[in-house]
Amino acid sequence: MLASLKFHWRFAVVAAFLMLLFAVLVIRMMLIQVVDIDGGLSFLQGQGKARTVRMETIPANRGMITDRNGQPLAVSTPVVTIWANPKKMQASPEQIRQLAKLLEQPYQRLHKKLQRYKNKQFVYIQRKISPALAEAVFALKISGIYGREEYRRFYPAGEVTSQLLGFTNVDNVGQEGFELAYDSWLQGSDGSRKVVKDLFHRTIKVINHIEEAKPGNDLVLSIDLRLQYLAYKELKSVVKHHRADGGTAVILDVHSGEVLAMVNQPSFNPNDRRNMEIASVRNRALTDVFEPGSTVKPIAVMAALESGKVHAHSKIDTRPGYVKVGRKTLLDPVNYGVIDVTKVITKSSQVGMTKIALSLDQETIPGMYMRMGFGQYLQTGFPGERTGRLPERTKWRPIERATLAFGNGVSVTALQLAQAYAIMANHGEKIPVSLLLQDEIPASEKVVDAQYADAVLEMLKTVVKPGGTAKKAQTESYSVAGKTGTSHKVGRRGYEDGKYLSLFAGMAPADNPRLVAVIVVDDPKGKEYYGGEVAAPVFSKIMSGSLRMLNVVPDKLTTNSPSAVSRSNYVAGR
Amino acid sequence: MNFLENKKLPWVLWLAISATCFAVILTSYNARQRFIEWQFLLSDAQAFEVEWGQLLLEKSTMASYSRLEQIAADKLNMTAPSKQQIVVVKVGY
Repeated sequence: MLASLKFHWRFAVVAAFLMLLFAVLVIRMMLIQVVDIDGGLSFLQGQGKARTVRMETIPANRGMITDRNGQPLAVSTPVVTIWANPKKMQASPEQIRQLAKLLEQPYQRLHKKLQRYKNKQFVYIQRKISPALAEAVFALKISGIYGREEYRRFYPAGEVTSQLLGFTNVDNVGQEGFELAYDSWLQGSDGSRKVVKDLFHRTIKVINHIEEAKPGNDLVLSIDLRLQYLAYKELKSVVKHHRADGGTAVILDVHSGEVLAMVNQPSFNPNDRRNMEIASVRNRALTDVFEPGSTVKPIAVMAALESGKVHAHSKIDTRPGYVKVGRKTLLDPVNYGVIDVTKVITKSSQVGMTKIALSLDQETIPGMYMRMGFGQYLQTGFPGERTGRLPERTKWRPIERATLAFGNGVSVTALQLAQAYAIMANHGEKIPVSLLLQDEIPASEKVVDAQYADAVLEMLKTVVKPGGTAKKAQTESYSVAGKTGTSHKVGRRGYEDGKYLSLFAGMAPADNPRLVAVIVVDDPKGKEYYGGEVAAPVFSKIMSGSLRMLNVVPDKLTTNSPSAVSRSNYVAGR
Repeated sequence: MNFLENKKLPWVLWLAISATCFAVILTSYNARQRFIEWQFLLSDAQAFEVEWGQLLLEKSTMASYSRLEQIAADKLNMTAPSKQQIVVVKVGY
């Protein structure tokens, strides 16, 4: 009894002591895990989260640029950037040699780079390589080499559209052209979210979206890639053939004001810009201004017709083939005699134009140029677009009035000239030009009465006929109208001797114009430099090809009735 | 109240609670499985989009107008029809 009591007492003490120890453990655990004394709770939760909770970036793609038919012109595609953590990197010299060989880098350079950054945590090895090549790099199994997915811009049309589109830098920020002008529109913003991942790195729960990814918007240009390609090919061949410094060509849709093609020479390959020259980046059709020369004569004549001082068949005496204005003598290549106003355009007579200009009020011609949009922004939104120069004077000297009428002392861009011709082709209606696809035709503005615009169009038809200055602008299947121009290149010290711009501006089909095209060839170095010799043939090729591609009915071909077709050997294909 | 004196009630409640517990476990497990599946489908969708972009590039390279023109002219001996070969047909009366 005593023994059992004694045992009971000792047993109770030991049991109580052990219970106390257990209680201490429980309390300690509670303090750590529930009450959060001395940071235990936050530490453990932090450690737990560090193993499961991840921030994920949701990559956003830069928008695509397409032509009017949805052909891709600029597309972002994923590439892999290889980077290394030199501190964690363990690679044998042989492995580095293999890596260098794969990436086509000199071994010495790669080796030196890794040595230089050996105490750092991050160094780029190669940026933006193809996913296939990246696979090969990872197959080397070098620890401390990682890949990061990025996007790279590709331009499938290459040099054909390079100045128009511009390009992006290595961080996908637009640098030139539409890539720059619409950068924020095209640029998406990466999103990020907090997620829980399991042991196998599978996302099992989204905690919250920090930021939604905003994919970039697509941009649809008014350009038709088929016409763009054709115009580029023809321009490139003429620039090469005449050893010209450069050139530009613009095709404009008369009824919608949309630019269907805008090409420049010299050009560059936007997919590989290592040998790019700065001069080839300019979109000359918008950034380069030139004196339009004789190509503005129809506009000056339109002003004269509107003033009522002359009509299409008024007689102008150009004898004896030259005229003195102030101290200057302006001359024609031959004495044209007494000719009418139409013939002044057909022959591009300097003397005839001078006499018409001097018979007008001094504000008549500058006023008309102003209404045609000279000296004003076209509002295309294109970076670096220039306005050209239309001088404003209160008093014009006679020589200034004469030279202005044949395109000296005023400067324009190729697109401004194209717009002016579109107005003449569209019965005096001015439609704002656009480089982006228009959902609906923008409101036009009547700037000249239809009768004067149509009368000038009639005169322009004579230019390409026998006796005109641009017989080479004719096409086989379509009637055309237009005007040549040859202007002195303006350099730093005024007109440069022996350097010319060869110009042609015109529309087709002549009776109901659908397209306007302007061709500028910069300093052709051969024997030929007149607009009618150099630029007109390009116009002919571009126009006939473009109209055919747009399914415009040829107006110079004989129309057969269906019965006549069945008798002919024409095979329709289906 | 004989409602509280019922000897079977605790057991019934215990069973019910256990059942809902398992149901919760099962549902959240299923939810996770579906979620993982959804994530894979999402990344598949992204991969398809990438592939589409690459195919688009390939198509525009293969069908670039310069290449088409070269093949048409050199391999297939095609030429643009001349004026004499074109007949314009007026449809309708």
